[in-house]
Amino acid sequence: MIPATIMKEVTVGEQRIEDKVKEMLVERLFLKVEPQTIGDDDVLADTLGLDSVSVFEIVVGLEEVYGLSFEDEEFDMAVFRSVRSIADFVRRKQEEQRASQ
Amino acid sequence: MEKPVAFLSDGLRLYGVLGLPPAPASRGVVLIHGWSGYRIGPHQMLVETARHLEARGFATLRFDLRGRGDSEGEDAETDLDGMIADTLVAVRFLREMAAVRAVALLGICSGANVAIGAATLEPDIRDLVLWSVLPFQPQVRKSDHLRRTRFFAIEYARRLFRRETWEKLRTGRVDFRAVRWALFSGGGRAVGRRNLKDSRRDIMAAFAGFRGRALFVHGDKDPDAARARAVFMPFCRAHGLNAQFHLIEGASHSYYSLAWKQRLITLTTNWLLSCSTSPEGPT
Amino acid sequence: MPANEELVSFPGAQGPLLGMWHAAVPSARGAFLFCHPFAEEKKCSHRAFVHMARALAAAGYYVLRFDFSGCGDSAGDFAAATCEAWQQDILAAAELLRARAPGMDVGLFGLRLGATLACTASGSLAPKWAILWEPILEGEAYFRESLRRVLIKQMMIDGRSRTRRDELLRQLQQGEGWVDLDGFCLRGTLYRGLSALRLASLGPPARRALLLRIAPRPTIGAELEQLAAGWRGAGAEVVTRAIAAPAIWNRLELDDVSPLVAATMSWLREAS
Repeated sequence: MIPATIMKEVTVGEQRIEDKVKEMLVERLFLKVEPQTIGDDDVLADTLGLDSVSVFEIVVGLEEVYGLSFEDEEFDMAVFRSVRSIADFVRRKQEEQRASQ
Repeated sequence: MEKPVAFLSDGLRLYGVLGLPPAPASRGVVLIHGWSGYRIGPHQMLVETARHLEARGFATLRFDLRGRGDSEGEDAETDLDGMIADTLVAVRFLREMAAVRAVALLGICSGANVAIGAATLEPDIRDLVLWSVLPFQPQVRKSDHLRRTRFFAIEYARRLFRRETWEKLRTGRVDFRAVRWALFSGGGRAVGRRNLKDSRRDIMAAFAGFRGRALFVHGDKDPDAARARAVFMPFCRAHGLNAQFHLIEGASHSYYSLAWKQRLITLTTNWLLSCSTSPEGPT
Repeated sequence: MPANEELVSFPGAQGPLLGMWHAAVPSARGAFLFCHPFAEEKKCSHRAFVHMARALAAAGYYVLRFDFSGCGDSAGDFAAATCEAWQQDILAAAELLRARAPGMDVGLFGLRLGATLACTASGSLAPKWAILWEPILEGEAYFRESLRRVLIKQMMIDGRSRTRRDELLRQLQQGEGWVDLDGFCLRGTLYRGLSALRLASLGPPARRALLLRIAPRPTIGAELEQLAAGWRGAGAEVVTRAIAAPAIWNRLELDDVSPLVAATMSWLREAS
């Protein structure tokens, strides 16, 4: 019998959103590099060679990790420019969520 | 009319589809897929192109390179030189099956690099259609190591894996199976330190002597286009090659839209048809 | 590699379909029919299908893989495809399977929407096994996700998305409307047929079924567990598994699928 794969939840704690995003990128895009080698301000299109396949994975990854959802009109390349811009977007969405509660 | 075919290259069985036009063809086109793809091409564009060409009197052959598609061969051991060898066999096969002399090569992405490599070994290949060709690997700058060169990164990650990842595993912060997948994906075991996308020959040096015609097409929103054109345009000028360079406005690397695909197929077909009055090569 | 594979052509709903036949080595204990996923997912996962088929053949199962009408190398235009045509294609493929492997127990293998389509055709096939990798539970939800890719692509080109999914869906629901899905012409007819598919409204696809979740962080999830429970209630033996793996139907490079194949073969050994 093969046991089902048990996924451990990674505790976020005080981890910076930027670092969590880097981990998510490496995991979802199956990058063969360590998360910390990606700079906060690296232009992702240049360093990772983003295409629509990888952007889709990033969108789904962010939605799963942070429980947020991209509205159709929120697809803006400025959000995906760098790890920092992605993290800023996440902070904005979290702020909106808090404000609406 | 299309029929499934199979042929041997280096003892490996390769599969493909042969397309024959209504009337006997005078020219053939072999279509070569990209690195990780197979004979149908991105969004079936190689199938559509082949059928479009068949309707205009060309015999066509689209096939799976070794280690790809339906063909035999190990995925992780397939390298550029093997792909070139397969293409030369495919050309001979098409010549025999369709009774044509002139065969053009049409390749997408690394398939275009394969086309160039094959043309440098077979003087009767005089027409090259090169969609989204990349610079050959030795021309890639070291600083590009993070970008689209995952084979280089396998060795890098292996060194890190031993130190960093075991530390994380010890502290229970990473799921081992996910990490193992991440580090060892990309086609299974790498073959030593060799870059599979690099040829053992200096193909560009040989290409300098190419006396046929080449059509280079890129999408202008393809991040690789500028780099590729920066290598090939001056190269073709310097060596007096008969080359045309086109950009498809708005298109991405694999032309992911009906409109871009259509423009690409039309441009390609017209260019190939305009070759039809050029003289046959020597026997 | 033994020469036990051959390309085959057989009549489908919209013209000849191309397929690959894998003969069982050495002696046969069953025959599997493979159903590929939708649009570009088919190309990305093709080699994975080949590895799965070879593993089955080496274990004594015949395999017939084939391209749906308008897909891959089969005849027809993708723009003219319909859900009904694809279901007819499955039946045509099953006929060939039965002709070449008479009297054998039949199995279905599918990935994503191919798994879902296979289940819709299982009624007439009475399969012993169904191997469903990342099955799509609801066609409508699947297409809502797929349409996001249209918006993402617009964003990659123009800097921002230019339309909304609701508009695209309206286009598809009206008469002859169509949407360009990354180079695939998705017409309203095909959309309406596929988006109506719901696995929960179908009975168990086989006496024994494997539901395999494939994701970077896989959890089987309540919906899949519920589906499995429903099928067990109807008398089927259903196993659910989750494997940490990339979305093999969505990748631009080749992945090592041996963990997926190994998990599947292990289940099949116990389910035989």
